[in-house]
Amino acid sequence: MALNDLATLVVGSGNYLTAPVGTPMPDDLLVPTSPWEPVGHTSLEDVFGITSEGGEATTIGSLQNKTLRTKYSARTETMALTLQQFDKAALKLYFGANAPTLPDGTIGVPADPQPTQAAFLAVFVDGENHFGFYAPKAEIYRADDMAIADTESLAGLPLGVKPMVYGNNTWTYAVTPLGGTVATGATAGTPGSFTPDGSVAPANLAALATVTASPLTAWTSGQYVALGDDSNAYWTGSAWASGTAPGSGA
Amino acid sequence: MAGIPDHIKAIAELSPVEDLLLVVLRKGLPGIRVKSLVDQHETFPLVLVRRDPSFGAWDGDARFTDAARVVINCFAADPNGDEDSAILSEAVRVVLRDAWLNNEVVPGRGHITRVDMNSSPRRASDWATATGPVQYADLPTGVWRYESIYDIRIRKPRKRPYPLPH
Repeated sequence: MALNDLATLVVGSGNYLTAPVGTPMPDDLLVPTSPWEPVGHTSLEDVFGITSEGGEATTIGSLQNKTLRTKYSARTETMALTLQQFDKAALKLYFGANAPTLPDGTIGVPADPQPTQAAFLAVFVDGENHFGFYAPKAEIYRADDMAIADTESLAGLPLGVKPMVYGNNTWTYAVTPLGGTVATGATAGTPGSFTPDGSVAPANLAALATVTASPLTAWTSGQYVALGDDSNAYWTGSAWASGTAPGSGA
Repeated sequence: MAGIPDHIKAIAELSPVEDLLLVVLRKGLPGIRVKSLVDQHETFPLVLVRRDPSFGAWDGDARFTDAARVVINCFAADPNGDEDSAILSEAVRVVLRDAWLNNEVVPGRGHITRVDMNSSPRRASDWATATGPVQYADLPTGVWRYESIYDIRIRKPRKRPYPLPH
């Protein structure tokens, strides 16, 4: 696999959102529109985590082959974040969707709390890159006990988000790869362009190996495409070469 | 030809931290002079940004991030220069924090991924402290200086700051 600097992630900021179960992922993760709603302020220090249960491997062998195959048990995952907002909506995420609003405006903590069911979206931004977790159906409920330990930092409500299978899906949640759409074609020019539109330039000359040149005849003098490592490449008629096309007289 | 050749500049991956902060602070503080050098006949208010050499071990990711300790001096003149320079220092803090949390990307310079205040704004009586400007001995009459120190982490730009010309 080619090295791709553009696919590395350093989270600078992020946001967590919920919407009614089954709400599709927004077209623009950076500008999610209604019915997606932020869950509120969350911790700057404990940003996000995923824990899992299950998934234990059992090795199955025969008399002739002691490690014939491996069988894994089902795995359930929980996304963890710490909510730092104490309004009604946030408190219900922590104490249960069935927490009643009492006549004096307080939130009653139910004896038999029910998790909130919602679609869930986590968006992390790294400059011009962004990365997202999307679950069309998830159960949101407290992940840990709450403790207010000091008077210096924001109090937090540890939340757990358990993605669940929605409808006929064979998956519980989806992630968005960094690095954009992989280029499948390169069109000659000064500089040339990659197809499909909006695809990311291959990282280097080696990564061009799977890209189809257009035209397939040798590119003419000065034509090239710019690669992710800031080098240029052109099509000789039979292979990719580094630099710009020298032309017939070169 | 003056300067270094383009193919040497193209080796550089990180942009000077001061250059990124100058862009961020100038955008966030319209009407305020934001600079990294002091003019011979300076005017105020002024925000002076300088990377602090006394950072200890540099601990960025050698491939993708930079880390810097930055000294920011805020100057304002009377009347009310003392309070004005304190308020200007606070405005600088807010602009830096918002640039971090809003992922403000400066093309060719990168963006801030973390801001921590290392030393909060404090009044300094003259130009020269260990981290402050040392170009002149005394502040001009009626001018006040507040000095603060930030530890800043930076994501390097997607493209090298000085790409080879095609």
